[in-house]
Amino acid sequence: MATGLIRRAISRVQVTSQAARLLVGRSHASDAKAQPVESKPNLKSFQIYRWNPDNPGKPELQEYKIDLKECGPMVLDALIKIKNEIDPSLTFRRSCREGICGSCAMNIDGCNGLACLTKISSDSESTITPLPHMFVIKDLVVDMTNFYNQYKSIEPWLKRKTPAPTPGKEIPQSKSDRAKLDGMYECILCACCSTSCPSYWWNPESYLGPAALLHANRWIMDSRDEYTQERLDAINDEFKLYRCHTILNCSRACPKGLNPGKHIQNIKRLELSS
Amino acid sequence: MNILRPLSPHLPIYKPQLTSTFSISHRISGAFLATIVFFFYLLCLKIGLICFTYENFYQFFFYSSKLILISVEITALALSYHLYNGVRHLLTDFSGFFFRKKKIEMTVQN
Repeated sequence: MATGLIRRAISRVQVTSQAARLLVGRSHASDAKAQPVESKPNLKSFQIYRWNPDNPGKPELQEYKIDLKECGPMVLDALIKIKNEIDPSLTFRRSCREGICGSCAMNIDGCNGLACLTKISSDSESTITPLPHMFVIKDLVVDMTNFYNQYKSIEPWLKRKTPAPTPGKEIPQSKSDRAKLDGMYECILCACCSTSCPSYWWNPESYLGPAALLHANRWIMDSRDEYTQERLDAINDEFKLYRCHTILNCSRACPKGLNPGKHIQNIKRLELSS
Repeated sequence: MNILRPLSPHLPIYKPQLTSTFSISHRISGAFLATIVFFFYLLCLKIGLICFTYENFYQFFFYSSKLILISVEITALALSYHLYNGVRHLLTDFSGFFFRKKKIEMTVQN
């Protein structure tokens, strides 16, 4: 906006001084007197986990070198660049590229996170592996069936015994009751937390994992839900809930900044007093 | 077509976090202290000082006498770490009980 004003002011005044010509010239993109800048490519090597079900062997880390100057800032940008330019067979899940869908969850440099939200670190090497202790379908794609089944098993929907106070209208909820759900409803089910929990690694089928338990707490704390006691009894199991030893790796791993450990402690507290 | 899918790497590649390091050290120190207590119980209460009259036993204690000091140091470290971490666990895990005692809200509509 400022350059436009300056341009109009100068053309009206018709000043042909050196400074004015420079200001006018700034609006043009091409400048014949520009010096060609010698840019050294900033190469970074990515060690990416590869395994092909069509040609099964031992999974391996394959190295790819990327010029960070020609690449976006996030790990997902690097992965897409590798897939476009170097190796189209690299397989990974991705969708929204903005950290809301949870598809691109993977283990980057030893920590779980979303590839679209993790900045490429300035180290010379990065290791990208799939989510830990999950069965690999291909390269960075893992089998999430067990994880989704555990989420389904806690019945993540509103259950009522009595009909709504005003039939056909929404069930009223006070602002303070709605505030109780903050920190739980934002979960995008990316599985970063559950796959960072060592307890979930050793008991993936019997322990529900931080994500499912966070959602269990979300429905337990919902004031509109009337099956609170039944929900608490359903998970009051030595394996489903009490495999949690408050290791708290889940809260460290969550890319959305949620705290599953705190909510699991809330469930344990409610179990004690019910 | 029956292909066994590999399991993605977990322990070898996961970066040790502060939280997981605390937790596993608590477990290891606890196991270590439990074995120490058990062996001391066996040695002092079950057998007693008569153990020193057994030749092999006395030889073993004589030749490992220099190591006793360092193992006592390690046990003291394990005990103090386990104790402090235990207190931290009590404070953080049960904070909900102390602060919310006044209004235990079970968000039941009835």
